[in-house]
Amino acid sequence: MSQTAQCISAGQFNEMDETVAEIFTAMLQIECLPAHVPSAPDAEVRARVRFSGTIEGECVVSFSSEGAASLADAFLGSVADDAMIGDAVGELCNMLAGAWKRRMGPEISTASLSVPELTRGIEQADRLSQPDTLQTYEFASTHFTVRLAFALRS
Amino acid sequence: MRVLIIDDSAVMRKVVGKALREAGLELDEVYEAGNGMEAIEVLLRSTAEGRAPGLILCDIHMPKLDGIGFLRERAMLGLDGAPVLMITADASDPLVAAAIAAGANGFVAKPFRAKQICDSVRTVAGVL
Repeated sequence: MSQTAQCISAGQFNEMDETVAEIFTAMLQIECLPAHVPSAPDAEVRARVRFSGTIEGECVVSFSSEGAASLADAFLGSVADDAMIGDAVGELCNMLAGAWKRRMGPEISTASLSVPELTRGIEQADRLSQPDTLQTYEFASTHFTVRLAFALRS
Repeated sequence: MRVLIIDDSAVMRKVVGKALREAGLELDEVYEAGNGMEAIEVLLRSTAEGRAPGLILCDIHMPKLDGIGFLRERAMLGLDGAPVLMITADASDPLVAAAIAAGANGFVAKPFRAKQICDSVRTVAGVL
């Protein structure tokens, strides 16, 4: 089976904007919108969910430590410990990947998802070979990024 | 009502419990398990004590024993009295259909609102 590189279209990333808004509104009762910032925030807590099957790629969500703590607080309604903070970022990534995939056509929506992988520390160099797209979002003065990268299998 | 929430995400267990309360379910006791094996232990212990859950909410993908494995093990042990709602981030996952075939009564896709949990609980458990 060979891979065919596929650039993510504006429409496909617009679906991610809608997905982010849906998750924050439904589960956290908070508005979350695309943010136009000069550079993406420093990432110290990241979660990655991989796509496999009809597409190969990944969805990566990155937060600063403070931003990740804000997310966990929003989920729990109280101050979260370190384990809960990582768990919250992983769960957000899991929901984003699943809900975004569901909005896509059958070529993408039938792909499988991995469980979220959590990493901490300074952002490493991008190891992706696939084309990707990065978007920064903002909720309650907190910024985070979502990166989508995938290639269709043919 | 006693409820068992099975999810490898501790955050999601708390979020589901909160959504059930917001949906108006009176929770006498909330049992939590991080995977299917822990959930079987909870079911065995609570059943022996006469305090078995009346409703189970269960993730699909979990380490050690996943949601499908939990449903099958539960049936083998004769512990399959309570209705089960699967909770998944990937509603197109073929494992959702496999879970229904293995004894689950319905599923809720994440993200969800408290009202969606409420409607699903009403459908499968006849409460709320």
